[in-house]
Amino acid sequence: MEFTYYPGCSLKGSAEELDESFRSVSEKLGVTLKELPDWACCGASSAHMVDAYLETALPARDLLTAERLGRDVVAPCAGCHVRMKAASMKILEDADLSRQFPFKGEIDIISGIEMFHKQDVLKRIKERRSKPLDGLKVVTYYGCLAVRPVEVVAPEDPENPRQMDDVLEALGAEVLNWPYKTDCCGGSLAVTRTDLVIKLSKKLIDMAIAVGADAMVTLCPMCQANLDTRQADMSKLSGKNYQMPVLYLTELIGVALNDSQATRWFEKHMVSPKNMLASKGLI
Amino acid sequence: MPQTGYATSTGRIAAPQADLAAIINQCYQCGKCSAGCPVASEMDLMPHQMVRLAVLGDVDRIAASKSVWLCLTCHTCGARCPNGIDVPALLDPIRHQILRDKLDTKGSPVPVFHKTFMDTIKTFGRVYELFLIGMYKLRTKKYFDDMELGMQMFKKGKLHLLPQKTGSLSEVKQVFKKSGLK
Ligand code: SF4
Ligand code: SF4
Repeated sequence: MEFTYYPGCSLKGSAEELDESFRSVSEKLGVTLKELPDWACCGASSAHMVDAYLETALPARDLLTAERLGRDVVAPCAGCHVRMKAASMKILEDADLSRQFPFKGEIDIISGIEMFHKQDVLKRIKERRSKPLDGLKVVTYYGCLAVRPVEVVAPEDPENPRQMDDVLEALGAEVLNWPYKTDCCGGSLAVTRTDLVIKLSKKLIDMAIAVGADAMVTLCPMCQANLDTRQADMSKLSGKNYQMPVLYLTELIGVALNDSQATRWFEKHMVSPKNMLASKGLI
Repeated sequence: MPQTGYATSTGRIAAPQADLAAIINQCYQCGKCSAGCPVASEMDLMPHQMVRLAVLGDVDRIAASKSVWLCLTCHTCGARCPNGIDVPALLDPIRHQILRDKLDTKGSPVPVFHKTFMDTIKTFGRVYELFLIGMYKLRTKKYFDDMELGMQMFKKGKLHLLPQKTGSLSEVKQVFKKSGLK
């Protein structure tokens, strides 16, 4: 199995542990990733706010390169995936845009979650896991862009997605039922309205604690950053001590595959998951 | 769009284009969008009110609201609306015009951030977090917000000193030249 890999800016910046764990476990699962040459930013949460042309034109260049290479694209970041896929749909609908950007729609743009949920990959996960995540209780946090906009992502169930749950169950973890799988953490206001972001993220973490989760699992770098970095503020505001590990799905795949790199990824977390994982005998 | 008795718009902000109008005019004010909106309690106009105002032709009032810059683009409203109405699809063209025509943004830091983000892309082709945050702080004079967090992230190696390069910067600059963003 081979994909063109679009890492996007977060994975080269504050979410390096997602880039590293994604590449490492893909290789262990026999999935070859080839980085898209000379990729540029997809426009993220900003381009669509300021200009309709940029929203499509920024990802369009990279879509054309990817189509020339002929392989389907995997974009681990939920935000990049939505921007790339939305742009590809817009180009195909709009005669003017498709003249400027002759993208034919011959390749697929899939998310990281979709890649690990492919039947072949799931099967290999089950076969190759050498350290099942026994005794680990998690909640899955998809956030917005793994399921919405629904016409772009086309999720099976936008209110109760199951793909990450399936992967984690294949790893041996216990996936808890909770109500906030797809509630927004405030991502797009992360820098501008931290007060709101802390409020929205705290609501999520409080619920994860209430249902007894050892960790929250996501595949969105914006969600992970908000939930992980804002716990110090939450502690200050509430007088409680917030210590909820927020892990990338790929990091837990790595733990179950006994990836020797895993402890290095955890160094990047503000709330270290090391003690919790060690207490379960997982690292 | 034909004016109704309710409309107070001066027509400064363009009414929704025909294809969008055809969708939003199906709104029957059930309020489901506002019920699920994570920031409804902070808004001066709630999502269902913004949709109603657009149907009535008073887009100026939406443009003058705080809500237009509070919306998170989380698309919860769009996923749940029984008529397939996505509030960000209504707001995006309004936000574009506010910025293009340099209309009042009521001191909201949100448009400043997004414009700074785009300046970063225009300059480097990719996000360069230190530049983005530094420019944003200069432009909003919020020098000391999140200083502690920034230091911690730096120590963890989450913020890089140097920008990453893309070999396609000149093409990215071309894309910006063709855009409405000046
Ligand atoms: S959910 Fe849809 S139909 Fe109901 S009020 Fe909101 S926009 Fe109108
Ligand atoms: S997209 Fe905007 S209006 Fe719709 S639910 Fe989210 S924040 Fe509210």
